[in-house]
Amino acid sequence: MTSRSTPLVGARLARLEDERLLRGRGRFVADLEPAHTAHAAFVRSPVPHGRILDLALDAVRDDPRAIAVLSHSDLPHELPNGAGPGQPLLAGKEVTYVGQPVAVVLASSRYVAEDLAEQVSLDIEPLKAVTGVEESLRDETPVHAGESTNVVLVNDSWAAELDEVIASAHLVVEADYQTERQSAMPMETRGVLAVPDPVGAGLTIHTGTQMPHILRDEIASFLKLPPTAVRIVAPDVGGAFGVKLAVYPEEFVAAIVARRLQQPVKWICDRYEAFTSDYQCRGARYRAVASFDRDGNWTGLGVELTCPAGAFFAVPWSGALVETFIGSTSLPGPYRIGRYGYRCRGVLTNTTPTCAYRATGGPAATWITESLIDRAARRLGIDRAELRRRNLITASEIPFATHGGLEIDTGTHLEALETALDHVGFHDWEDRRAAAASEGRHIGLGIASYVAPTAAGVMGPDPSVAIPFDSATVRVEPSGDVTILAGVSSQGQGLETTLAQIAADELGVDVSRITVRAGDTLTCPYSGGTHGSRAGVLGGAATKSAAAAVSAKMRDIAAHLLEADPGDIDLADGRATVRGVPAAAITLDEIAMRAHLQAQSLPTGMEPGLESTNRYLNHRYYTTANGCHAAVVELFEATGAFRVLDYVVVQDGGVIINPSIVEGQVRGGVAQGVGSVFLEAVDYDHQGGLLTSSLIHYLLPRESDVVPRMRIVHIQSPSEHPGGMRGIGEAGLHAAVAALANAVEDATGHEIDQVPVRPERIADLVSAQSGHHLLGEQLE
Amino acid sequence: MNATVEVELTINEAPVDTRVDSRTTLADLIRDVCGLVGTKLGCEHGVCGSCTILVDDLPVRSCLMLAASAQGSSIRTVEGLAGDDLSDLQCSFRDHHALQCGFCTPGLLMTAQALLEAPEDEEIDVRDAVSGHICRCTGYETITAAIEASVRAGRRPAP
Repeated sequence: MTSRSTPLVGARLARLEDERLLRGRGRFVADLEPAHTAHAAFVRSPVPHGRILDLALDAVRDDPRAIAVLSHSDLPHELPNGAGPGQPLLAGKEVTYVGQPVAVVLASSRYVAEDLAEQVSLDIEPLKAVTGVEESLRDETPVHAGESTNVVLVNDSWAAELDEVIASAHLVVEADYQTERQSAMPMETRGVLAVPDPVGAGLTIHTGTQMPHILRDEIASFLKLPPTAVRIVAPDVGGAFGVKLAVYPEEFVAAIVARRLQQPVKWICDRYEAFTSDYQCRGARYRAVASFDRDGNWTGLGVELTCPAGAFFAVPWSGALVETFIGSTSLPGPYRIGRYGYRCRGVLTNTTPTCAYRATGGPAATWITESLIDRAARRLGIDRAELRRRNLITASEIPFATHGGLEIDTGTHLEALETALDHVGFHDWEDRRAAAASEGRHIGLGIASYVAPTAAGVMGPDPSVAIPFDSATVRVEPSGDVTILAGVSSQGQGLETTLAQIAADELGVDVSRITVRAGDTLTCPYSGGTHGSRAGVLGGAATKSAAAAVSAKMRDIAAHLLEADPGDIDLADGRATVRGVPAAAITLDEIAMRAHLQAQSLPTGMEPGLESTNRYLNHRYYTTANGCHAAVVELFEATGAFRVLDYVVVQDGGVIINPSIVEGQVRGGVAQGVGSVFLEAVDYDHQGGLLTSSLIHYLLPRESDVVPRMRIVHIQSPSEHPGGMRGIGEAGLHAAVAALANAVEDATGHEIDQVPVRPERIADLVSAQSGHHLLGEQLE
Repeated sequence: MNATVEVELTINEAPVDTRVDSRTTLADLIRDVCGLVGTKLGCEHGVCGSCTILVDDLPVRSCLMLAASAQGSSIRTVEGLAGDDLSDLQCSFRDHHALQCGFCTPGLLMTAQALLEAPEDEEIDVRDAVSGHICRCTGYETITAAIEASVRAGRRPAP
């Protein structure tokens, strides 16, 4: 059946998108500027909570440089919203977070628009602000004046049986974990360019969204236009990591104003605005309790998850929803746990709204599970690797339904653990740490076994949760060149390359003949977007299936022309040949030409053309990817600095389309784990003032913060989906927080309940270590 | 309200003679006035390095320099690196998978280009140079590898 002497799936192919990016010919939203573009600058709330007493716009409106100046009274609209109070595009009577848009000024350049925005006078009477989730949960102070509760999400599964298991357990480990607020912080900030159609009511919106079709539908519905009147184009996108999933006020404002002015409207978020207006993530509290029997069998796990929504419940996915949902799904990890229960609370706070960040609830969930098992091992006096061995799901148990709802169909959890331990040198680790300690050095090793929910499928009756399928059109043009119209679009993941690799194998053509187009709702089939480790799995499956359908038709045509049986036709290297008859051959270019330009020569009744669209549905709840990370870190007492000395990743992500691209995703994810554990925190003061407002204050990982040579070992258990991929976009970050935090715990002998662990804390922990490693119940 | 100033310089050897607001940054001159949008603005605080260009052969954050300060200088941007074919440095980035979204890439290429052109007796620390840039996608390992391979393949004087 297939297709080429050397398959491209599995090859370290250089990326097809690289040439334009390396030449500086990538085109991101900020790079686009039609004639007569009006530039927007937003006036934003400087306070976390307050009543607007006066918004003086007249002077700015009178300035001849102002194209338009609008406030809530001009745009009295609310964003679509999942729960809690409605989110105004521009605040009306009350502001509820620092950075909330209050007014927008349009001018011929951003310089002038900002000048004018600075002249807007805004008088606000401060109100008490609520920044922490526990404070919010107490419901003493409303995040929105006059609202009866700050709680916007409740989801419980904790049953009495779990309490009974815990009450009668040999060992109970309790802990209270905390993640600080972070921001995904892609290097390209958000931005939007809305261009009205020259004829009709429609418009084209260029924006770096991860979900063009869903944004199209939201904006069309909001504008009371048919979706066909709204075209979303996501051009080159400079990273996203979840922050470009949400629908934002600025996109809606730009769309409305462009239609009113009948001229293009452009807004590019600057980095300061990114700190106040990009939806954030994490900032959650987790009260966890785990129980074990005398032999170390994990008998019970219960976790209370309290996650912030920020001031409004973002659409489509508030952080309060996805942190708790993916968190509670991921918490049981790859373990056989007797009973499991959770209590999820989502609460409003007077802070920027939250949404997803790569793997979302997964990193915290894996950290909690892997921290609890380490602590249990110390208390039970069982080696931490051995305790994992006793509880990991084995090959003989699959398919295994976890209490989190995952259906685990890989039996590689123990193999991943052992491989990671071998590579990191676990067998003589205690000696190595002791030797380092004798030199006054503080080194630690952390292990993290994980299972990541990927490629969400059919979730249940609620259609708002996620689109459970993805799409691709594969078309062979009359010249024999191939166009793939992909539903999923890239924010740097290299989908132009990986989808082409998949199609090249099916069609037997050189990859140089394939062009992938994506991120345009006018031309590309309906898509759930790129997030949640779904693009390679579902977009790849759709591409493979569509290409297979075209391939079958090409074989039918070749069989007809060569007077052979379609089952005997091979497509490879740009030719169709008859197996066993080397002389009988026809080029694919010839087939393509005949399919379009000499349709009369096709088999009787065959439709001309070579094109197929596939929509691949994941009928399961989730797919899974799993593995094990092992990290070695060194901590420095004098400076509180850290260094990652070694990092091993063993992962089963199913079939690998391009190892270099997969490894790039893993390294990037682990680097974000380094940021999460050591560097990154959005700091608010206790009154809700924002303290981190630039990349000078909010530290992103740099070259010197990552391990120079990460070791990555692949296991490939094919999934049930066409192509066999499992989804690897998030796996690096899913496990890295746990591995690194456990390494800090190992290095300091102190239990780590809060990330990030910043220099002042590292210095404290290391200096309090007093020379030897504490064990078991002696831990603080 | 804002004084204007005449700026005369070359970008990728092409002469530019224009009048801009005195407050215009060099980055905005390059992008908005000259239309060379390959130079990227990541933070406008001089922290991320995405806007790095070469001014008289030295790497400079174009978001922190006023266009007026570049009067008379010779500027190179990412658009000037390749001819019909990619340069060896650009090929090394591609071969090492040293980019994902490609947004920070132009700045890194210009810093790396300056390293390649450094005098033969000057010690080069690639990791240190890469540490001056923020890449949110790759985890850096492949970027450093790409530049180190390019340095090994041969340093070359500025044109």
